[in-house]
Formats: sequence, C-alpha cells, structure tokens
Amino acid sequence: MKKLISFLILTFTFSTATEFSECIHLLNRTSLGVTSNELNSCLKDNNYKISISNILKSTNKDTIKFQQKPDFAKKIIRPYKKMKYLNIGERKAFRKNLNKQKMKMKKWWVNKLMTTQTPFLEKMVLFWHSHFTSSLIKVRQPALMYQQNQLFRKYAFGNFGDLLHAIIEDPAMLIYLDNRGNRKKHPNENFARELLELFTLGEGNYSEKDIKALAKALTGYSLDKNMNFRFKKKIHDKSKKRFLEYYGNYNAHQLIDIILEQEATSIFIVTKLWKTFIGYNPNSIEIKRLAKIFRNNNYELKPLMQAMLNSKFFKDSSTKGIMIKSPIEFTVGTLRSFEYQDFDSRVILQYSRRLGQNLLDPPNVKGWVGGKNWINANTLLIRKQFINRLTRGDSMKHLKLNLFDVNSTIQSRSEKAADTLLPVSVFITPANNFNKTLKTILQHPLYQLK
Amino acid sequence: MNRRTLLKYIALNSLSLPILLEASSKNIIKKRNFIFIELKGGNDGLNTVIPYKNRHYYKYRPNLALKKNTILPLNSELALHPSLQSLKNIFDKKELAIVQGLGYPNPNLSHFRSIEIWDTASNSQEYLDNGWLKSLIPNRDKLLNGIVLGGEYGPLSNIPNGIIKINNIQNFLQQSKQLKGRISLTGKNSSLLHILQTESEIQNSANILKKSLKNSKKLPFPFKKSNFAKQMNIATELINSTANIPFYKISLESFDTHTNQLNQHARLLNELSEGISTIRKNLIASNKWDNTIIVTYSEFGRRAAENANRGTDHGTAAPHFVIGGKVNGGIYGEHPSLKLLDKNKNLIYTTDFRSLYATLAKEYIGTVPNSLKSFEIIPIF
Repeated sequence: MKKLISFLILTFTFSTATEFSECIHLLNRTSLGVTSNELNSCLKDNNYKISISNILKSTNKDTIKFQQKPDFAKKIIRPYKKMKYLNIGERKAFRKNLNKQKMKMKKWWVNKLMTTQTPFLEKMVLFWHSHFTSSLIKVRQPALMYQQNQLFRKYAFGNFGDLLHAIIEDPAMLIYLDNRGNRKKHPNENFARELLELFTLGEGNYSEKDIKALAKALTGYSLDKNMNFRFKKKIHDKSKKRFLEYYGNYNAHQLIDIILEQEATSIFIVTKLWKTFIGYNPNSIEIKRLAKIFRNNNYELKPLMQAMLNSKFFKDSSTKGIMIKSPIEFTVGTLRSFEYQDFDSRVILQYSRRLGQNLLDPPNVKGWVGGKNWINANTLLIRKQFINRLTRGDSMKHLKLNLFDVNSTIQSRSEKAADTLLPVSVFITPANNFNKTLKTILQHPLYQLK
Repeated sequence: MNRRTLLKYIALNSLSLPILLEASSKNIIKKRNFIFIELKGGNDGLNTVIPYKNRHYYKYRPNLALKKNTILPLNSELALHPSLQSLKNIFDKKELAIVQGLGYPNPNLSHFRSIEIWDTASNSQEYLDNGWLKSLIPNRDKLLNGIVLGGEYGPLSNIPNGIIKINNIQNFLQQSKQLKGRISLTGKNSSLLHILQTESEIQNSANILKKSLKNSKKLPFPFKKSNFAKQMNIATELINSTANIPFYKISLESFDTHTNQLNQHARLLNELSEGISTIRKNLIASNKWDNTIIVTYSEFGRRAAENANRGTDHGTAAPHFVIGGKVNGGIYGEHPSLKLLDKNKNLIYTTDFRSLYATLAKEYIGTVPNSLKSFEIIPIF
C-alpha cells in the first residue's frame, strides 16, 4: 500500500511516470549526469520530440567563442635553441614546462565538461575527439590540440563533410598521423590508411591500391615552421591516381568529395554515432534509413541526430540502461548530478585515466572502443572506489541533493533518487537514512549503465 | 507497477554463470605457465633478428641498418639487435627459439585488424570473436585461468571463465572487499550481465589470489620500474605462488616506429631483453623455469625498406621468440626472401603464425585443437 501511495505521489508530481523515465533516458544519453535544471526543463516540455529539439537547439549556446584563448593555447612551445644543443638541465626544464602546459589543457577541458551549459555539445566534441584521434603525447603542442578541439566544437553539430575537409588540414592531425613526412618521393601511407579505415569508409570498402592513391593525394599537406597548415606544392604528387572507380590527377580534397559520395561513409559514421548514443547492436535497416537522411541532408549532423533520437528503437523501453557509461560520463556525470562545486580537476583526470579514458591522449588511432571494454575487474573496482570516496561522511556534505525533493519522506525520496539515478526502475529498500540509500544506489550495478 | 518488475534482482548465495566447455577433460594438461608478450604497434623484425649478410638489407635500410660491429651474431647469416645481449646469452644456453618469418596469407596492414587475426587465429578474411587460447582452457569453475596485465585481452578475449585484468595485486585485493553481496538477474541486458559477471569474477579471483599469495617471498632479482617491468614482476610473483594460473598476457607498447626508429626501437628491445632475463633468473631460483614458456608476438613486422622519416611503415612477416627452460633453443623456419617481396613491397611469410599456436597447444594439452590441426608443428619442444 505504501508503495502504491508513493507511486501516486510520483505520478502526481511529475506529470506521468512514463515521461519522467523518458526524460531520464534522454538525458542519460545526451547529457553528462542529470541536473535538476535539465530534468525540470525536460519535464516542462512535456513532449519527447520537443525536448529533443530543445536539446539540439541548446548546443548552439557554447560560449567558448566569446572567451579568451587560454595561455597554453596561445603559442607553440619550443626550446630556445635546438633540442640537441640543450644541456641536460635545460632539457629537463623544457620537458617539465611542456608537461605543465599539457596538464593545463587537460584541466581546461575537464573544467569545461564540469561547468558547461551544453553537455550534449561536449559529448559530441568527445565523440569527434575519439573519432578523428590525435594525442597530446604525440602532437606535443597543447596549442594545436586546442585548435583541433575548437574545430570539433565548430562542427560538432555542423556538417560532417566540412569537418572532414578541415581535418586534412588540421595541424595536430597532420602531426599525429605522420603526414608531414608524406612526400612525392617517399609517400607515407599512415594518414591515408586510417582516414579510409577509421574515419570514413570503414574496413572492407577500399583496397590497398586506394590507400596508395589517397596517400599520394595527401603528399604535401604539411606545416610551415610556425606549425600552421601549408600545402607544399613541391612535394605534392600531381600524377594521375586510380581511386575507387575514379581516375584522374586529384588532390586530397577531391578524393574526400569522392569518399563523401560513397554510401559506405554515411553508414560508417551513422553506425558509430548509433553505437555511441543509442545502443551496441544497431538494426541495419534503421541504419540505412538514417544514413539516407544523413546523405540527403548533405551530411548535416543536426537533422541526423534529430532523426536518430526520434527513432522508435531509441524510444523503446528495452533501450534503457543497455549502454555502459564512459569514464567521463561516470565521473563528471556523477559530480554534475550532485552539482558538486569545489571539484579538483586533477582528481577527475586521474580517475578518468585509470578508468581507461585518458582525456586528450586516446590509446591509439582507433580512439576509445568503449562499450563493454570500459568494464573489467580492474576498472570496476576503481569506479566503486570513486563512489566510496564521494559518499564518505564529510565528502557527502558537498553533494547537493536538489534532484530529490528534500522535504518529502525518506521513502519517496529514496524512490525518486533510484528513479533519477538509475536508468531503469528497480526497487531499492530505503535505509534508515537517506545518505545510506544514496550510497547503495550509486554502488548499484545499474548505476554503471545509461 | 510494471516498470518495477522490468528487472528482477534475486540475492543468491552462489552465482552460476554460463560456462563453456571447450577443451576436453580427457586431455592431459601439463603444468605450464605461458607468458605472452605483445610487442604492440608492429615490431620491426628485420632489425630484431638481422640478416646481416644480406646485401638487400643494407640496400633497403641506408639509415636504419644496424652497424656490423655492434650486432650480436647468432650464426653466419643472422644476428640479434645490440640491445638483446641478455637474450643472446639465453640463446647460447639453448633456451631461446627463434621462429622466422611468421605471418599469414593475404596480410592485413591495419593494426587493429591484424592483431585481431593474431588474437583469434583467424584467416585474413575471417572474423572470429574469441581469443585463440579459449580452446585450451577447460571448464574449471572458480579457478583463475589467465591474467591480463597489459593492453587488451588479446588471445584471452571472450573467455567466460577465470580471466581477469589487473594492474596491481594489493590494490585489487583491498578493493575487492567492497563487493559484498552477490546478485544475479533475469533479463536480456548484456551490459548489465557483463557487470555482474565482472563482479563475481573479482570475488572469485580475489579469494584465490589471497590464498595463493599467503606465503610468497620477495623476489631475489628485482625488476626495474617501468610499466612493462611491473607487469613482468606480477607475472613472476603469481607463477611463484600456488595460484596455478596457466596464462599471462603482458604488453610492451610503442613499436609503431614510423619516425626516427633507431633509438626508440633500441630502448624497447632492451626493456624486453632485460625483463625476460630477470624473469628467467627469478624462476630458475624458484624452480619454475622449466614449466615456463615465454612467447612474443606482434600484429605485424615492418616494411623492408625504410621510409623518408628514418622509420618504417606497416609490414607483414616477422620473427618471434619462444623462451623457456624446456625449449629447444635454435633458429626455426626460413627467413623470408628479401629479394622477392609482395605487391606492397613487404616480406612474404614463411611460417603461418598458427603453426606456432598449434605447437604451443600440443605442448600444453598434448593434442592440437581442430581449428589448428592443419598447421605444422614446429619442433621447438
């Protein structure tokens, strides 16, 4: 009977229970944690379609373009004379400073993730960072990684074709995939290979011959001494190339256009987005439908994401809680749900790295594979440790509980907490104090899911 | 209240997980400790075991060919990289087998695809899900079968019983205490199932590790401090314990030497060589060396000719090491031709990597699993 009453209270307070759980589902996938503001505005929309439109519209509000460039992004870091002429002490000091600047960049992004008003945009930037991978370790220049991050922001929900054209002139990318050394006389295939395999067509839709042709077309896409993009005509191979069913003296941008004409490219990108935002086992007919929408909209990402989030497969209740939260979603998301203010970005970075997601340093060019790979014996224990640390007596004080009507009974608060924090509804036996219940919920296996 | 019954949780005293029986219990399994070392990124075979008499080698490698006065000759044709002095000593003791020209038909030059082929023992165009060691792991519920200490699960992928990934044993034991109750579920959520399986794995493994490490002693020959050395250290401690874990997977990273290869490669090979030497000394001291087999592998070798950045691009066939107290040291198989290359100017393999797998399988379970039956055994044992 008690349960029934609390259910009625819940129903009464939040329009209908289905919409409440739909909002949670939607926010779990498009936001970082669930904040009371986001939840309330979704409930106020009172319409799933409208909520999706509003969430997509809100991504325009990234304020970063109005902000000043952070110090680490202002200039290329170089030793005052060639590295080999530095003495040991100077080299050490140089490396120390370099590492400090890299750390600043990482902290900058964590702060952004923690405080952003446009979490869906940040998630999309993360998606592109894991798609068009580059790493601070290899690129070594925070300024260039920042520039690449800005590029992802600009196109996060923009046009994929434009992003692809831009990425082949992106300095960090050209360094990361060794294209500076790609010259007419000595082609370096690295960038061409990954561009076809991981960035566009996907394995099985091209041959070794196409890699060689694209590598040739990419010769001369290089950097000047200030590390700005520069097309070096002298080392560019202008010869005729046979690429897919085409033959001509193409440059790389022309081959990118051919790549964008291929259905395989749209399917590859749509599948990857689906596996990131919707579920691990995409329905191939639905993917084809969405890929068509993507192509018909000239590779604009907003209409695609709109269609994807409105897909009946996403709305279906069997899609709730079937994905594993990424380390950033788990750490940043948890802290954001509790409006945790005085966070230490270094600690978040450490946890995220130990959990397998070293921000700005993906493990390899494939980016983070994610999914079930996020969880193994080692990382699951670290996740539990993170929650323990957060819910220990004195840390608990920093958690704002705005999500769960502070004034109602323990019973209904507990239920509200479980319904808000867990992706599917389960019954959690309330403990005699709310903090204990909260801890149980956060340590629940379902809390790993979204 | 339908939504509350979507998932039903039941507290259970013991958790039974689906367990697949692959290796027949009739086979006699020898007591062996296999340490698989993944040389991640694609190790340059030509600069590891050097065909130092071959003029093509010097032609392909104007900047990268190793100087004759520094290399460590094994015979009149082949020499080891100067960083591999410790391995050379083990070779001289006849405990190091070098299998040349390992690869497979229609080689794939992508890191991810090629390592998947090596990990699952598939053909080039065949997609398999399970790590190849699955066929060697019998149904031994609640026993630990493999420890992944670095990199991906690789050859131990998708094996449902007793494989765990850990970085630090003490932390692992400490943290495993946090998992108290056991829960099971009914439902089809495979992500949730994965988490619950991991929880139960942690508990089982922690119990075994705690018991087996109770009387462990300090290692007489300490390892260095690198990440790779740390992995080797844990493997050694566990082999010395009573845990009886047959498979260890270790990873040494950064072999993808597209630019300025020489120094980096020298550093990596040195780390490999010293690590193996330290493990050997420790295991000889504890009488475990005769049961131990160390195997290196990598997604591919590198292009015969160096590139314009004093590095090498993705290649194909490469030699690998098999080391252990009961290994018949020596050089096996044929060196790939340096004259006749494939259409991408890569080496053509001479021994299928699955021959090595079949050989290891036979040594361990006395027979070769069906999937590897067609590959020749290499007489390294």
